[in-house]
Amino acid sequence: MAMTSVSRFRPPTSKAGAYFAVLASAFVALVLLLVIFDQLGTQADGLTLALVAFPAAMFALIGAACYTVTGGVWFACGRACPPALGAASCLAATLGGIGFVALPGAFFFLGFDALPFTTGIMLGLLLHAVLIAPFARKEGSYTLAGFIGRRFDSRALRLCVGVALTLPCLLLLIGEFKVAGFLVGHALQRDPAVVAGALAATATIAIVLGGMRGAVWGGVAAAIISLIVLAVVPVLGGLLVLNVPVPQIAYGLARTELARLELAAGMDTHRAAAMVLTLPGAAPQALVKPFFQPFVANDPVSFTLLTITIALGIASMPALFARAGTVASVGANRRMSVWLICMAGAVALTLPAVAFLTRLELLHALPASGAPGVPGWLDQLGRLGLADFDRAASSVSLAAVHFTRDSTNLLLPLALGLPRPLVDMALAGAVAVALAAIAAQAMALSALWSEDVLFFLADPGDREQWRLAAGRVFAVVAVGLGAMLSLRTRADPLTLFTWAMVLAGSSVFTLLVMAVWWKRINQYGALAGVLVGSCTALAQIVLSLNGAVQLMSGVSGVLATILAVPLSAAVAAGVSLITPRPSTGMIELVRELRIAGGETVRDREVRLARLKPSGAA
Amino acid sequence: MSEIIRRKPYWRQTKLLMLSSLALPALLIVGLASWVARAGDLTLAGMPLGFFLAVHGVVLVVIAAATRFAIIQERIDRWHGAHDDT
Repeated sequence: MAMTSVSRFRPPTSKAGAYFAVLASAFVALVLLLVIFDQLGTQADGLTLALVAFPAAMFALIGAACYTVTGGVWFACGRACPPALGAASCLAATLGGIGFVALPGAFFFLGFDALPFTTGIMLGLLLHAVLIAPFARKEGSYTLAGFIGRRFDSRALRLCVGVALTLPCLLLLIGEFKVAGFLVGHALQRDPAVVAGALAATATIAIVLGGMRGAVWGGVAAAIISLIVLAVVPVLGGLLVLNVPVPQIAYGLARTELARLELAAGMDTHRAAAMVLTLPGAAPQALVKPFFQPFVANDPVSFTLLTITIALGIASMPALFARAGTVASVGANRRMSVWLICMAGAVALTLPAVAFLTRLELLHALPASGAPGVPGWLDQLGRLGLADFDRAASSVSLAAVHFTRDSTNLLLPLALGLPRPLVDMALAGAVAVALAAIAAQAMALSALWSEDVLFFLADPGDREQWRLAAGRVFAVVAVGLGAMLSLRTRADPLTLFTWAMVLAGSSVFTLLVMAVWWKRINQYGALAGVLVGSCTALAQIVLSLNGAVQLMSGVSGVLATILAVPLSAAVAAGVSLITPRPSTGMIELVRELRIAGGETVRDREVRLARLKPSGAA
Repeated sequence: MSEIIRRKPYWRQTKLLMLSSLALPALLIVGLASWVARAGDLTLAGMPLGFFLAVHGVVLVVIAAATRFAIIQERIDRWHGAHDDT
């Protein structure tokens, strides 16, 4: 009864765990050493620079050490990544600097109303794990557009999807440069162009030399550093504020106290009007909303729609799709997905806890009655341009201080009076995950442009060196373009993230699901679905930006997915039904994709193509 | 033709597993807003029940769904001989 299966298993790297344990130990040792130097009175800027340079140096070194001239390694990590480590790398790439820096700020300002982001990310990862990743791994294409093109046997469709997915990847890339450039530039008092240039150079070294393997292993290092930061600061905060080392489950103990302080500070408790959606911006702003109060900044319908929008976008992310092919098998892919969801869950539990502790500590330090004088840490934030308040005032209350969203990670350790290196750990974590996300998006763009756009015009066949050369060139172009546009645009990184989710989900989510679930869909229906979905989302975003006519009255452009996805599905189904049925070969491919075991479809095609000249069957 | 017949039970079981794995998380998230409103002033672990559900409840349900999906799908693959040799 058993179906035939041909295994192409490659054993994963056996010493990777040991290497990364050494890296984690090195980072912790560095922090402890810097704390000692800080207590001895060493100049603070030098310590901060050392801590920020560590993740960047590690990322570049790891990427350089992964140098390869093999296409399968450059594009897909040789399909040899262990599931747990692959999941850590995916977490860093998905969360990125925007998740590490902007999301804590969103929770700090919005409290409950920021939950669509973490809830949407969790649901999106689950959708990806169940509906998309196993079939992506079985098919084996390096890119999402390649999967679609091979599934429907249409190069035009592959080109169209490649072009449609360029914008969301580029928006995420720009957002990563902006958020890291803002935080590190202000903290180190450096020109944002210098910071962007340093990040671009580091990412370029890693991915041009190491490709996907450099991005994956560098991403693991980034994830380890950021998870250490996300573990240490809440533990210290929990011990000092709540006397509990696990604040993720215990911050409710101080709920009553926080509510009393918020009431004294006069925070607004009115519910939001219908279809109101408020995303906290990057500009300095005051705390006005109670932490636990639901639906003050966003109404219930917008809350739910934003969650769904982010979920569909995460599930459709090209960078996440590409990671499906880096593990040894479909079973390993499922295990990687479980690891990823567990790690993302830990982060989702930690972010609200850190925001809660930060609020509580700040309300204690800056009560409604006004603190006498300006605390030293607040003065420092003001000088760095990360907080805004009246310096001439004799007393300062929290209501009178405007904090920047993207500096929230620094607030808790500063307010607690922790040694400077423990504050600067947040910068190291931000640089690490921003590099991981930059590398992931640049790799996605590089593969899209080379495999799906350039080689649409001139198929290189099995000339692997041409593929590699094109990939490397486009990686440099992608990183450079992202850095340049981040300096020339004024958009908010969190808004860029949300737009990217809208565009990605609207363009390809229905197609990815229907491609496996419905054999009747053909290339014409798929093409129509992609065009309608992406154009609808883009039009809604652009028109709502200008305040002009909206396709859906009262709905923010950010929620365009809600219109675009059903429309895309309906058009894809309708066009498929009125056009010729798919070929027998296409239907047989779908049946093969549905079976987990066996050789990757793409690898088999490559293997058979190489055997043909020798006359083998 | 015999290959196609054997694939049908496999895909039917896989489809049911996928739908069942997504049903509860999707229901929780779509209905979250109304359940938060109904929870009112009830608390759990010191937090408002609606907040606890939205943070901890969602995380636990999604992790459980993903783990269940991976374990049962592995069993389905082995039953039908569709697993990889790892």
